[in-house]
Amino acid sequence: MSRNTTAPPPPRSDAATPDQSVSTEAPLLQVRDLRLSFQTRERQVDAVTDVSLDVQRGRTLCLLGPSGCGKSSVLNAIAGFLTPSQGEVLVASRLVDGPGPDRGMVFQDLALYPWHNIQRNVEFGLRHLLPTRAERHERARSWIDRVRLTGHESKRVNELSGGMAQRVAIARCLAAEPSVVLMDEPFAALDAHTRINMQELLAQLVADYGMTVVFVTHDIDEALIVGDAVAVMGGAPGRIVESFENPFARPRSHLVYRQPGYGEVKARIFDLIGGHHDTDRPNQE
Amino acid sequence: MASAVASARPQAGPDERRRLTPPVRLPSWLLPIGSLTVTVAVWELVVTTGLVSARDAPPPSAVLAAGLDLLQAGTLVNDVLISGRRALTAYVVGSALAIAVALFTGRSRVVRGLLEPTLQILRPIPALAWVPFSILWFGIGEGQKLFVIALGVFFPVWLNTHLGVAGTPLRYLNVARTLGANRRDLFFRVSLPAALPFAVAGLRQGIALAFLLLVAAELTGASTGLGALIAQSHLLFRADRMVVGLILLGLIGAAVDFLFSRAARRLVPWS
Repeated sequence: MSRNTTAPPPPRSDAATPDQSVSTEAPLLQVRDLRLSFQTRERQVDAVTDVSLDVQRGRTLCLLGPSGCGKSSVLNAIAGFLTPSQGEVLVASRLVDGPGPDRGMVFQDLALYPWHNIQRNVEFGLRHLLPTRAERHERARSWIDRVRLTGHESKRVNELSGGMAQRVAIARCLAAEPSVVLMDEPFAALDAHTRINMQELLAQLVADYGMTVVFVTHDIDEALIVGDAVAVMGGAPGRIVESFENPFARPRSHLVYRQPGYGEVKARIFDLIGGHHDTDRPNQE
Repeated sequence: MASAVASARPQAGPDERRRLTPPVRLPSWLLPIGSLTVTVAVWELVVTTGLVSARDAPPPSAVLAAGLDLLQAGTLVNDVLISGRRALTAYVVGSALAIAVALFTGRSRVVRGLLEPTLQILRPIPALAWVPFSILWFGIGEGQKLFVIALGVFFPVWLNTHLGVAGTPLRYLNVARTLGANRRDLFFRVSLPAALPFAVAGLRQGIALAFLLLVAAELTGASTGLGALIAQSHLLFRADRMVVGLILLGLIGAAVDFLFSRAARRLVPWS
């Protein structure tokens, strides 16, 4: 496979880092020169190459790209489910070596435990965190309240609507207080209205609790609502095409599209993504 | 006014006509009891009218008399208790062993590699085929009966539980890992509950097999139990007593299955 990864052209490839004037702290999450490859019968195939990302504490980075561009693979490498073929992932300056509770993850298919009710699902990650049942119960209660599911604690998973199940998954993840929250297209399967509700709920939780988030999506609007920074990925092999700060400041709602300049920004991202269905570089003027 | 009401009556029915069920609600027990009564009545009638000889098919009245007779002699209760104890003991031993083995073969690749080939070759052997062999090992006695029944129960319970544990959805395990689960947690708090519906399906198949093998074991060389009652009555040409044994097996089997499915619904309400 031709490794046409010579100096990708992002104008500001480390733009995911916020202004250094704001924080001199080392980024909470660092991905350095990540390569993920897998072995087929004949050869080694790169799924992801040369991915570097920095996310400061309290910020949200969106990985945006078409399906198959490797954005979920990057997330899985951060989670520790995939081992880098090259490069490394650091959380709070510690090398990631397998999954761990410092990196919570909300999966697209949620994977709520059907044998538990809502309360017990949210309590799942608290076993080794809080010594007594009463404390675990209390912590779960408060997170159920924060995702506005109070009153539904004893409901079973199969009784929940898509949006409610999503809230349970988020509460279960956040109750365990991970330092980094990883979200893999969590709202992709929701209807438009519920999705907007969930995006705004997430935005509020992020603001209220200073959460650090890596959010994978293929939806440009979602990236511009959720992300403080956006890293656009392209495929074959997966790599970062361009990274930039979200020009629209917090607090952002789904009405962010009304802000001046939104159309141009979206069009530019669309070109970046669209251009990468071919192996051509985009925007080479 | 009165005439208007009177003339409205017969037409009261746009509603009535749309109704799919008859307006009078039958009590839910009526149909089952009714059908049982009719079955017994037809059976009685067929024999008393001479359509079928009473020697081949004793009428319900004769069966009832034979049953009361055995009940008074004290042997019937004894037979039921002994059969029940045999089946239950062997069932518990066989399924407990099966679940324990399945947890290891389902979770550990090494244990699976070691045990699965043997188990997969033994599994298709009908447990009935073990009856003569078990006599060779244990002689005719309680041990032999327990062996055959437990062996028969073991395989469906093992296979189902094994598949359930081995097939624990990866996403359940991955979520647990991001929530700080250690190996113990992955086993007891994820794989085990995820396999529970499968284990329950296996346990239900095990019940049917336990009954089958109980009777098979008791028909050959036992002096007590419902199978023995049938076998001995056969030697004495007592068809009425044989039918007592058959009906009791049917009633007990239906009751056990009913109780099990209710218990299963409480144990795995999500499946």
